[in-house]
Amino acid sequence: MGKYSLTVNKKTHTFEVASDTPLLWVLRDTLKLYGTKYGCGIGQCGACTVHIDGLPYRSCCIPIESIKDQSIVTIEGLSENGTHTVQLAWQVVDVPQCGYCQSGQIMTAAALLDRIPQPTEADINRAMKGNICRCGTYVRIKEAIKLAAKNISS
Amino acid sequence: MSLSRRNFIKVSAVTGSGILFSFHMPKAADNNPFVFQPNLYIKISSDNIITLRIAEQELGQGVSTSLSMLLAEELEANLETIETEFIPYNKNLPDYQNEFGLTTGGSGSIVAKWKAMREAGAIVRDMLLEAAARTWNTSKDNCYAKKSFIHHQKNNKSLSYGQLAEKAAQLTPPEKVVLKTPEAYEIIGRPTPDLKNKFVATGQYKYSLDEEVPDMVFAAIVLYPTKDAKIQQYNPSKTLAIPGVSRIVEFPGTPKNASFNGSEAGLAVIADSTWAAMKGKKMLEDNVKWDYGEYGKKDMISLREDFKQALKEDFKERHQKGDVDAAFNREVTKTLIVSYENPYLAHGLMEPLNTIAHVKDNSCEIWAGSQSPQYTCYHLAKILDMPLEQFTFHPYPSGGGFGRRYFTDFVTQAALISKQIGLPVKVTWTREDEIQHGRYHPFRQEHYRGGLDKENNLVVAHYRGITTHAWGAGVDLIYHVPNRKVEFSIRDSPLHFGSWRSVGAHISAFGRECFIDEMAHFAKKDPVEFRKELLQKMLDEMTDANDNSDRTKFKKNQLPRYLKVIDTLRKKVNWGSVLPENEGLGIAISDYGYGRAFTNWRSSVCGQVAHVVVKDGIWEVKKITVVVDCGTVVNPSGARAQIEGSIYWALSPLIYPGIDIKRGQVAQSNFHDCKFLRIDGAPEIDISFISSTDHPTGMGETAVPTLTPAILNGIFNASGIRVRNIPVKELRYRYA
Repeated sequence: MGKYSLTVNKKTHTFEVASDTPLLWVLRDTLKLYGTKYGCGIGQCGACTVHIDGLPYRSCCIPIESIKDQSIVTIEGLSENGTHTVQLAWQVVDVPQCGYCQSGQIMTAAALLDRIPQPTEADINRAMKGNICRCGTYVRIKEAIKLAAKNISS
Repeated sequence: MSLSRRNFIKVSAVTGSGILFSFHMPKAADNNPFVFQPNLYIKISSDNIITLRIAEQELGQGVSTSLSMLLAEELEANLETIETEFIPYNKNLPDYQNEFGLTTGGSGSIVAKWKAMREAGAIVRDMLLEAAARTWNTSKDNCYAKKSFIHHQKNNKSLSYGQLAEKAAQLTPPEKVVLKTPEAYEIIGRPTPDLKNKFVATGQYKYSLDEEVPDMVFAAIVLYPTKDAKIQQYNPSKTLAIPGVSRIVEFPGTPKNASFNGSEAGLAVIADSTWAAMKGKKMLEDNVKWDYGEYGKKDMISLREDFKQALKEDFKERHQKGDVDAAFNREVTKTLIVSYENPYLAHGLMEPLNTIAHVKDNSCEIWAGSQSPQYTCYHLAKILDMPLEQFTFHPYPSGGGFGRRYFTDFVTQAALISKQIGLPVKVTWTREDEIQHGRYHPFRQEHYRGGLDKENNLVVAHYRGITTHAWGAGVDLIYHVPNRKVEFSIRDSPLHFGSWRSVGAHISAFGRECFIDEMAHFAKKDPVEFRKELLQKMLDEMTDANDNSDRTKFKKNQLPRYLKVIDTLRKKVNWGSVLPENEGLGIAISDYGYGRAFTNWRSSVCGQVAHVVVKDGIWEVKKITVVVDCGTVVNPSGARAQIEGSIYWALSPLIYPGIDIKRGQVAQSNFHDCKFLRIDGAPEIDISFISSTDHPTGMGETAVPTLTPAILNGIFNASGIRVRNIPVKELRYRYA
């Protein structure tokens, strides 16, 4: 057990958990931020993706003890009122089916557009390949990212 | 319907928050004696929010949106202000006369509620109109409803539904309502984004895994590894030494005495967090000594041996016409013998199975995403020896259902654990549990023997299927063959069987659509023309049959759908045109579901053409062209999503190995070795619907069965390589 302090969505939390607890379970069980999902526990599916200092990471594979003074953003904190370009594009294109993997998809896509505002098809495939969707929303994920990119440029 | 409409609706005021209209809308096929049993509620609140409470479960098929659309169409409600809630199963919700009352599956929600939901909307709209007319002291004819308001025709007066609901509730429901004709639809047929999207996009959409209840503890489970495994011994000390782990509980298995019930026994690690429970589970797994039982000796090699043995034993006959043996002996000049193999397949639900259960002396409360809450309660009532009235099941949206959540195992286990510890417990399956303790698409081999006469007519077909479960055993040949015989044999399976999106249709269509394609090439005929000719002959046979059986009625209505879908598809892809070298088109057709009187004896039909490229030992898909006839399309955006999803669902087993068995257990464990399609491997899809105002016939599974044969037939046309077992091992998928 250890005492930890963590900045999530611009808010600092202090809590006590086992030092090997993955960030995912701190977010969910300790901080009650349930938007970040458990999918596989081994970094294979991307459902647990969050931003750490602006980059996408699999929170299921990051022990809490390895995080130092970094800023975490989860789906709940991606925008003030759910108005991030990617969140809006996701709704317009009607991407979600069961919706479970979509927090991870959106966080990965948002990080991609931060890095490459006008991604090519290959950029999209490369960035999104780590996120599994069993409902098969892939074709719409691509479309929504393209729409978000268009909205960024205009 | 002959019953008085008054019997179908009751109105009750809900203190403070609005007016609740309760309906008993019989399922279209419901012939049971009438008892008022509400299965649909519409609440109108004073701030004009309409809440639709439904018994259907949200699995990602968009049912809450499409049912809201049906309601809004007739209620003249503002679709954007409709909220959906899921009806919990509890003692206040009367028994629906059978345990399947609240199940969601078989692509049947819109099929069953198409009429009922619109009628409910029309009834309430009529009552609101009447309430406004009385308020304004005028006749209903001077009023009209639009976007959750009633307006006066002759002046600018208007009242919201929220303002009128209380007055409307005092009125007698109308005896008869007239539903809109298709030309008047404003919402049905309009592509509508799912109403839950804004919650999903902000992480607010809540699954049962995101729920917590007071005093809840956490559990992870170690399930018995084979069907007849026993524990020899286990050492709990290291597990109990993990901080946060409080105890280990043994829970029994429950017998499988019906299709969807039965559950594995296991050990539960109880802890104060999910992580501690999962760590404890892992530690415990390393400290259990199993007796793997007789099933522990089984693997895919022994199963294949058993399937070989089956060929020497008797088969059960499902269908026969003409004389197969005589035809082979006397008429046939060329015979084709081919076999196809379909693997065990897992669901890979994105949300691992989970349940919160709280069992007390006289109550059982469940929080879970399930396709069968009521059925599960019926099952648990027997297991826990507790009256049904003492159950409450809070249904949650499922992070994927696909047939897996029809099964009761994951809820049963949580209830058995809670019963022992006397606390509410959240049981979270790991991904490994989900892959290794699934309810699998059955392993199956199909042996076809077809014969051509000297004019190259298909005169005989003999089918022998060996499978591991009765669902979908045998095949509906759909094509006309004068002498035909369908036989099957069911063998014992080391793994539990399951319904896997499209269930038997996926398995049947693969072999049948490849076989008929092979026969066409064997007869030197065009695969499209060959199919059309045999479907037309079958339609003639059915027309001549002159019997009034359900099957004949179904076939007579269904075969024209097939023909229309094929023709539309042929034109769309310009079938027969010359393609570049290494490219080919493959076609397949299938239906999903069965015809019923209220759907005019039709079910949904899907045709697909796969445009495949094979080069240097690598295959890829340029495009999948899809044509679907599913009757009226309620939400084109949702229906397209179901087709896209179905195609990508069916594509994974063509690329990646199915479930392998070693020592009676699933050999794979997580997404690294049980692989599924990812975004880069998802081909372009071109979708069209046959324009129709028919009764809807379902959309959730229709496009799954045709994908495999369309691609395999396409691979043949592109390369001359005939693949008969999946996954494709002869070639590599470009994006594997």
